[in-house]
Amino acid sequence: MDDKHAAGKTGQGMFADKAGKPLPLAMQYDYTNFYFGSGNDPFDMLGPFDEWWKDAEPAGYYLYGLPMQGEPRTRVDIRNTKTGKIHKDLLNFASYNYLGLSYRPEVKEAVASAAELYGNGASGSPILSGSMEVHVELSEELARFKNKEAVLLFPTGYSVNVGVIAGLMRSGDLIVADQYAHASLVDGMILSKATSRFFRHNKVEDLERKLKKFSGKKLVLVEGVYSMDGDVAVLPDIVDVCKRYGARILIDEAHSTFIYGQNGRGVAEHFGLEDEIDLHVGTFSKSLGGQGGFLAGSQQLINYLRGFSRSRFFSCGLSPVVTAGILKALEIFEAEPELRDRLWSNVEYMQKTLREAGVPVGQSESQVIPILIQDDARIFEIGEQLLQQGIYLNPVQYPAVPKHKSRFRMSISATHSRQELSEAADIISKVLEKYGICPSQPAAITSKRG
Amino acid sequence: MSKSAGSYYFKEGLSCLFEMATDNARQLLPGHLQPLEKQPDTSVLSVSVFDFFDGDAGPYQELVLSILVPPLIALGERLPKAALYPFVVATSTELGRSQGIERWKLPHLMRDIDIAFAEGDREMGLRVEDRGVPVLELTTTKHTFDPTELLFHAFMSDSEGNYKANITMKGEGYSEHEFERGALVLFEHEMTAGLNREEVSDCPFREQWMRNGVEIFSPLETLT
Repeated sequence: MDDKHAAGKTGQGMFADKAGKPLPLAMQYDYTNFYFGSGNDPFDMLGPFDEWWKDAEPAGYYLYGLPMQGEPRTRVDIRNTKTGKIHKDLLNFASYNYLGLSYRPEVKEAVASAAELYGNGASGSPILSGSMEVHVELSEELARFKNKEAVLLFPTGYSVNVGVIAGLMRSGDLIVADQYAHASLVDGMILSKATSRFFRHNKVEDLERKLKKFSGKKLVLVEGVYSMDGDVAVLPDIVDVCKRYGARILIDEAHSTFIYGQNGRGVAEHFGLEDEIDLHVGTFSKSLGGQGGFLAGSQQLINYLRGFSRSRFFSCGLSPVVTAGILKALEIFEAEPELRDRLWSNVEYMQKTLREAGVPVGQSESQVIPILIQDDARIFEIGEQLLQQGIYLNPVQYPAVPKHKSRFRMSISATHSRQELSEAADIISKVLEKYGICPSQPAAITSKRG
Repeated sequence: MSKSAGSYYFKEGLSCLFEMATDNARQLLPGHLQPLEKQPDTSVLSVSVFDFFDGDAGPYQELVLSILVPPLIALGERLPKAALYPFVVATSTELGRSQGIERWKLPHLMRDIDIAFAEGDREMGLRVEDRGVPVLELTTTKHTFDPTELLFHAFMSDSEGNYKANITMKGEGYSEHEFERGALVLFEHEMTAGLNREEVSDCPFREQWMRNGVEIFSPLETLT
């Protein structure tokens, strides 16, 4: 390398940033570099990965999975696994406890009562001995709430998509998903062995291109609110194209059920398209603060998938303790519409405050607000700064999002106070200003509700 | 910039990655290589164009169409950025072509091509033609340019064996992003005949642009 090139070289023969500051070796690689390895032993990759991880973890990857010391409230104590220090009273924008229901006293009481009645686990597959009265009650209540004939409960949100897609689609069929579809949808596609195609995010003309040349069984997968960008599916256009080409539609409303729509039934309700969607997926882990997921649809669909959704069939049923908590959370949700009002008020306030401060938040229209850092190499450093300044946010980087689209995913809750939101916006904008990310060009406010 | 054997110096090096169907990618690969899938059933087509001004084969322009494949990774060795299998190459000179075939075992279109570059404020547009017949049009857009050095694994195959070369790319300026602003038009041509053009995306999911750089080939290794 000549002198000109050497300007970008560190002692390890690697990269420097624009200011000439060497980047840690670990930041030049990511998980994608360790997917394939040479050799005949599957463990051959462990050595190179471990070599990288020794540098990568202290360089920033430790920011993932920091142990929380109590309930996921708006202020939390977090143990820093790098230093061993407990960070006290951090402003929590990492948990997707959107309505604050996970720790409501009534929910905890219901959980305690269920533990007394049922014990801890379901102790069996839901198709065998793992169904209890509380599961039946929750299924019926959810079917009523979703205005659908029936509901099937699953042990996790992930297992809903994997089980439903693989339970319904076969080799030779076609599945077309939005390119930003959640990993559970993608894994369902793989497991089904159907031909998989992806359309560019929310671009219906690309969806049409993928659908029109295929004759046979077709399923289209979209999300209500996209989990990394907080934007909403262009459902009317998607439904229109799918109807024209005879494709069934699955909508994953993990981040939009109990938030969007007049009654909180989701983005499909928001657009008045509930009857046009064939498979409605939701989770209990977001707004209801529990765990697990569900499929809502016709009785025929549920009858069929009860026998063909292997991820449910071959898993233990949802814990009756958690199920009782979800049931109580649903009851509270319906009895207290002011929870959603407060959430939307907080979303509008935070979107406006961040945008006015010039914090880049992309096209978010929801309670999921990406703080766009873009600089893949510096996201962990900024994450550390935010932690030191009292904010708990999770970094998201490639390959979870595209290159140069690193961000912090901010989750707004109904339980955040105005003061907490204001304090967080102030800290975030100041830290980002230090890195030259803020102020960006203010963008229009687009948050909307049902 | 000091010269060394196996080095090709370029003013512009553009490379864009596009989604394509995995079954099509498999058709273009030799049996010992598997396509790297971006998503299930979705592999990656790399379209690269170079404007060489000096080096072992002198000045010439080059178009390389490749399929991304898994790299060979081993403990203690530098990790490559990516690995690829060039399934067809075309150059603007006979010298560039003969060296690519003899030294690097690369399959070539056996005619000179023309590449017209048109740089705008935010993008580079180019058109590749074979005796006036369009092969492809590519638009790459800019992000920030920073100095860099990258390692790639290139795999080749002919009737006598399978090969690998490490390619180091060094550039005074390198821009890479996934903003989906570029574009590709593939025309019906001998070079694109193996591609199911309807299944190749018309917008790159990743755009890479290196300026004032050098491509350095390590000696070819025969794979057993």
